[in-house]
Amino acid sequence: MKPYLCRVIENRILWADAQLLIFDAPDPSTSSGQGLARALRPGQFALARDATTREPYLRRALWLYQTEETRVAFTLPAHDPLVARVRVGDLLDLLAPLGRVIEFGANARRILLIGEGTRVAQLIALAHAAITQAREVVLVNRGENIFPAHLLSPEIEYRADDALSAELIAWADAIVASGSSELYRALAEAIRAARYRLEPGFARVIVDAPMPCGDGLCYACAVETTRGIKLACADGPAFDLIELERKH
Amino acid sequence: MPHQIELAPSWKRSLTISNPIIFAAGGYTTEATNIGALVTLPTTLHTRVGAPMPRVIEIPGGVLMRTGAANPGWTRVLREHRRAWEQSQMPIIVAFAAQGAREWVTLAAQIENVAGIGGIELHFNPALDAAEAIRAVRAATELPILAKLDLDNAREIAADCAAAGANALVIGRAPRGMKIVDGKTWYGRLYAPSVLPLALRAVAEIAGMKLDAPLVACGGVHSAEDARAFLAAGACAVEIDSAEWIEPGIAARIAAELESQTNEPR
Repeated sequence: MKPYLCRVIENRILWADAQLLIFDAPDPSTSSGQGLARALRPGQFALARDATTREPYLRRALWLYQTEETRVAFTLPAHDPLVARVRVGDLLDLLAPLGRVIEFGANARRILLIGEGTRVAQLIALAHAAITQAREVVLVNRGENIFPAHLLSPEIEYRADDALSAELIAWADAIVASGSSELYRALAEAIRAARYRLEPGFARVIVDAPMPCGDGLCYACAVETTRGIKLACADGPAFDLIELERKH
Repeated sequence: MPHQIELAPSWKRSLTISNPIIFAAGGYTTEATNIGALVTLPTTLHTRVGAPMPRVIEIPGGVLMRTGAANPGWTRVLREHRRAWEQSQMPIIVAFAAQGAREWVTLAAQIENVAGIGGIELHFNPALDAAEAIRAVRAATELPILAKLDLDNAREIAADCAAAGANALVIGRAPRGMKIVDGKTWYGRLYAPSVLPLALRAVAEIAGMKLDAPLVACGGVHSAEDARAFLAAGACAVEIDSAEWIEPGIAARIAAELESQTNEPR
């Protein structure tokens, strides 16, 4: 984790209640924005604050959406108080990278990503990374607020579907989901129904809990797993579904 | 400002810190090397999953938190951090979550001879009989005891805690607040800059009691100026908590600022 002071070059609605914050033009006195773009990998996040104010008090979790050479795009809820405060040109104080990278094994050729509502935005960077690694990707958006398909790479097969398709679950080599605990319970059941058992490492789910410190200090994001207490900020935010669903 | 601050004066085991700033933001280790001491995350004998989500509710200018003392439990904590504590240049103060005397006595006995641990900090809430618990822990350990009192009743019980054997009093735990969330009451402790005037008044009033125990202040500190206010009010050391979540490294920066002030020629 390193501090970055980065300039906001865009602050706009991505779609529905998902906001897009894009950073560039780093302050030369600190780590560069280019460094930030290189440091962040899919599955990771940043914590941001406007250092000129203590309102809002806590840093905000920004979820990696897209990286380019010297630009980094994050999503966060559009109703977050930081969104209303930030103007294009403002410098924000970021801590990154935080959390563990979501990686797929060499044998995971077919990736199924399942996002609930605007939480699907947390999977977009992962979807594009998987495509660049020559994997097949199916992205399923459940619930309302369906992600605009034109923002996705054409190689990503995109479905708006509330059902957890047994066919897709049987097809996939690996699954990553982001949504409610109800989704995760249903996903575990659906995997067992489609594949007879839930194997360790097959399905990972993102725990989107408030993470005040982002560094494993405060334990506000502690999660009970079959391997004991883990922290969404330091050990997650993606966890093996099998470690969570036996405890929840 | 003295270079060496004794938190357990006249006690058989010394707890000396070389800077008045104490890291108390959670966790079990810190990269800061210039601070006086580290107080760990409040820990229990066994793993605690903690309170159900949400554990954090934001309010204007601060945050209400209810972790339910989520922690890995003493066995895992010791296994993972013992080596770092042994090598620590600063004393480690192990915080005991508000579980009461029976568990604290067991924990204290296990901690007694762990290298690097310089003291224990007992976290009280108004439901616990503080003096009785301190006497029980006092009988179980020679480690210096810091009693961290709830701001709600710190003034009422401070004298009894000192008399019961607390070597130092920490004033205090984050105040308890409430919010209505979806029509239901939600309780949590308030972490915010606005806690500072509440804690400052409590420290000043308890300092006025002239108790036989040094005071450590805690609450709302976000700058060296805040820390100096507590020291002026009668505290000999100051704990930094939520400010470190917002600005990692702030405890070390405040410690450096106080240190440089101490070293300035008069």
